[in-house]
Amino acid sequence: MRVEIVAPATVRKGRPVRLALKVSNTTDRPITLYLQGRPVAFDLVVRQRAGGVVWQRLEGATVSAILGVRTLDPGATLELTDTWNQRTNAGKPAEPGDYVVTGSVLTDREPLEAIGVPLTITR
Amino acid sequence: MRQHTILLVGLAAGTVLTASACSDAGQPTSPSNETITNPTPALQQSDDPIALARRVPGFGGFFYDAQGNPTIYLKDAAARGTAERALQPFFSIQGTSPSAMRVLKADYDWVSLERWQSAASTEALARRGVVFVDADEASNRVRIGVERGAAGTEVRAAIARLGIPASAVIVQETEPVRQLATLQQQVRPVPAGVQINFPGFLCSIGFNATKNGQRSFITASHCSNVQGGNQSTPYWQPTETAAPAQIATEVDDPRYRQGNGCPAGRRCRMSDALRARYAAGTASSLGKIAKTTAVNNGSLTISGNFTITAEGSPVVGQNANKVGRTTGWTRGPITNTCVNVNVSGSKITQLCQTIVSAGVGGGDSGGPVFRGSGTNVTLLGILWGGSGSGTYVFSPIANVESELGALSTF
Repeated sequence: MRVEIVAPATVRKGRPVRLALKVSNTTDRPITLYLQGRPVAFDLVVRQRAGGVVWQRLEGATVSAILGVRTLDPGATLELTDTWNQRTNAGKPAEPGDYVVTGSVLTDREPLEAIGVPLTITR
Repeated sequence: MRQHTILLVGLAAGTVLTASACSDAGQPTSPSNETITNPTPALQQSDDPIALARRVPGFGGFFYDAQGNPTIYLKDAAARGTAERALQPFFSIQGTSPSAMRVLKADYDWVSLERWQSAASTEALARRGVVFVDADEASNRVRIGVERGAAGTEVRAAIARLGIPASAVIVQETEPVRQLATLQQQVRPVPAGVQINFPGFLCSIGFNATKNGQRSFITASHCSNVQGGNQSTPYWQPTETAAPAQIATEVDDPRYRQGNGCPAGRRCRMSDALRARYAAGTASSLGKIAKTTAVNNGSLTISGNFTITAEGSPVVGQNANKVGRTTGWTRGPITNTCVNVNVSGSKITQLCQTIVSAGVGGGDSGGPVFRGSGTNVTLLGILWGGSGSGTYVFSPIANVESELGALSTF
């Protein structure tokens, strides 16, 4: 199974940033996923390259504690998307600079974590 | 003894034994239809006093009495010297001397007891309500355990037909050996806190209740085909695959409303709760909540029940317990009451909810929240959401009943 973030490498300041979290079945057998929330609860986090969190999708969110059962066939991908408006959780515009986007999907056990990808905001 | 253990496993196909009445090192915990991948190594003969002593003439059993004294049954006390020599390897390992051994008069030799045990097992264990058949080292008898009110008379008659002396058999009432279920397995009668399944999702039962004579359970409204509004959602326990007989059907789930104190653009209710009516063939236990082995230890193994004896209101600072199919029994302090909460990813706002700082996970939705540290507890409401893994939100029981009507919960 592969969990990955899809994000543009570069985006101009103030423009919406479409982010996707993809869970792919890279095995030759169906995989059953137990995913929290309805709709599926997934987190996206934008950090400054230096480490500080700028925006977190589920910051302070209350998620229904239901568990959805999804089967991913071999080669299939579950894609979860959201758009970041370049506002921080405090509501301020994000400054130009280098960032890292990470993500995770909540399950009944440990979250499915994606490795971070770089994102640069230009002027 | 070893044979006793094997027979119990044969008896309890599909059951898990919690204890053995004997001192054997055995692992009588695997159902007979499973492959045992880590079998216990065979006992060394010098570790096993029964194996060592069985060649002693008139040997009838070996055990430690209530005071911890090694004790042997011999038909003839004159055989003590032979018995001490036979048991010397065992006592050497124990670091004690066979001279401390007590001798009791045996009525029956061990070989006969084992033979009768084997014969009685074939007859008795085929009967309903018979729990075990043991060649009992401590009583020099064959001991047969039967459930209360079960076929003790029939068992005695069968023993007589087999030619086993009635005086060599003790028939005693005992508790049945039950499978240790988890919150995610089939449990009947159905208590609160266990897993339920409706198409595509898993949740937990909040509590059992009766309304207008209907046996029902309460769970979260979002644990249905559509949150708010009755779609006659079918429920299974634990899953449709594991137990295909439907256990209940959604019968009451008020719609979410706009206006009248609900924030603009949102839909509101005072509780995230619905009522499902049990199917006629599904037994349920009113007032019972499945209890796992310990609080905040992550266990999902059911070790007993909580009993609801009252309904109550949440108070900040008090501890609240919850039971759910994913994180089991957790407990933590109530941090906020009567909070209006937006549900992530929806237009729904739950009004006047309670927040608890305690463990929660996906699938715990609908689970019971209650107060109390003993067996008798006070029902506070049902869980529906979480923020991170250490905070959950529940709908107070007063809100639930304000929307579903008065319920008998115990």
